[in-house]
Amino acid sequence: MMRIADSSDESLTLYLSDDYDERTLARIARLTALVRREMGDRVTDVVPSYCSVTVFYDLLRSEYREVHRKLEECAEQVLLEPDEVEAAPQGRMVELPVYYGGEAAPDLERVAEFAGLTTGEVIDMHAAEEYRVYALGFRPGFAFMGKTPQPLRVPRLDSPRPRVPAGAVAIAGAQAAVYPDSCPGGWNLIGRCPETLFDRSSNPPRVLLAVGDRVRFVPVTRKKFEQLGGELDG
Amino acid sequence: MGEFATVERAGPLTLIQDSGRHGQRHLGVSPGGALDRHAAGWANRLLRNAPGDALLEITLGPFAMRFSHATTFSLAGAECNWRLDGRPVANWAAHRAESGSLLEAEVARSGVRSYLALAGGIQAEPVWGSRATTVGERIGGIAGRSLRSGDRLPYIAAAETLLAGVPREYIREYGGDIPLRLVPSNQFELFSSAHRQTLLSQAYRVSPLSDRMGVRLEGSPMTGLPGSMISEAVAPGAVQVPSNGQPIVLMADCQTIGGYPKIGHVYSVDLDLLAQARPGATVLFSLGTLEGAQQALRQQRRFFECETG
Repeated sequence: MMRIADSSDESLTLYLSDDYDERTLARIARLTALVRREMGDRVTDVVPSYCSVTVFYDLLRSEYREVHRKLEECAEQVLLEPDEVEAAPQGRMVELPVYYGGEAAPDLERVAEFAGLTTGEVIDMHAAEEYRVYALGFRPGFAFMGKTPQPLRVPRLDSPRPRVPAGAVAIAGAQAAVYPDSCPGGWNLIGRCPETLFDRSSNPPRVLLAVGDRVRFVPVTRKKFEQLGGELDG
Repeated sequence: MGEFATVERAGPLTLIQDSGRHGQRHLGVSPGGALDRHAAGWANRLLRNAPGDALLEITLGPFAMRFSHATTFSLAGAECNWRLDGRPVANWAAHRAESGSLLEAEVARSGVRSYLALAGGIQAEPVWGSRATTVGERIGGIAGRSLRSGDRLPYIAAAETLLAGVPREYIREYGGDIPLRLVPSNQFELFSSAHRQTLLSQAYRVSPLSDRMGVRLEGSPMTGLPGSMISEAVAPGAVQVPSNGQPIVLMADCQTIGGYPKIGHVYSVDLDLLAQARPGATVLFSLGTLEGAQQALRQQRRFFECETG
């Protein structure tokens, strides 16, 4: 059910539903766009996630009740829109090359064991799925994707690795991701992607993936991975 | 060439900070910024700097820096026995440095974060509209890292000005209990009355694992919690309760989205005191209201943003 929470002194979170699916994702994407258009500089940040959109505002420049009312109106408008509109915006299709071998995939065998499959079958299954980007966060440019095929839904590690390399392709439960930077992380690593997911040299920062995008992982050889600029020592 | 201050002793974590980086949260970039906005606000105000000017946030110290040219600087926050060319200089006040002067701080006696502002602000290169350093994201300040000895901080040499001090009623002493006023929100309904009672009735201790992302609290744990939920945007001030039942108060460098249930958020202005809490310090929650939280924040922001220079 739709509801609004005061998530901080200067932010409001609007929940569009209790669970996430393609339909909610489309609505979240449209609500985010509508809020940006309708609320303009009355909000400083608009952050979509799986089931919610959070707006941040500046107390000295925007009035709480006004932001609250406008956000509610935008959500009502989105919920009233007919189904054909809902089916329309499908996001971009992004193909991400992945090298699934050797030191790039320290958890691949364990995932295969968990799933009762060969490592080759795990790779095929991971690469056959079309994923959607449901949220961006945790780290700059970190895209939460779903949904990982049922047999591969391995829980996250009991204790996170102190360092996951940049480009690591990871799964945990129904979620999938590529780590944009090296950082600590508790997901299962099954490959490495040579693409830059978060470009810190550009202004504003550029991200490869946005909420609503569709993603496919394309298996490549180690040679191809390196030709594309990938480095395994990272 | 130009004017610069050279860091001679960087200490464990000294960061270039300002009022934070806004507008990039949807990409996963956290706002960051000075943790104690009261002390940082006063450091800038003493020099008639703009409220968003960059200054240093020195965590615990020790710290030492040498000026290439005469200018004015100001100090606020944690007490760390500042000395200028060997002579003691007062905290919560502005001072004059001569060309070649050495400014030194010892390890803080009380509080955690000390703020050092230079007239006109530190002239680091802004990244996406802010000079704030978010070490976890390697963004801002100098190459996204904490300062090292030998680093040079460009500044603008300032003519002699009237040197001011902070009026007594605004000077904070650190080391007492930290009161946190909670606005029930987000997943508040998922918590039972026993959970709420646990949070509001006991004295928590600040865990040594606390940092600029979050202050972890230790106490008698809440049990039988709702568990994790679907991730949503989070903001500094939010009180997350992970499955171990020990609350975490999110701070300026927190990640932009999170999946732990939140019982509510604390008043933004109360985070200033929490930022100065040492491991073992006592934290006491009480119930507040959104109106109260917003009024207090509006007042603080108006004071620093609209009444300067």
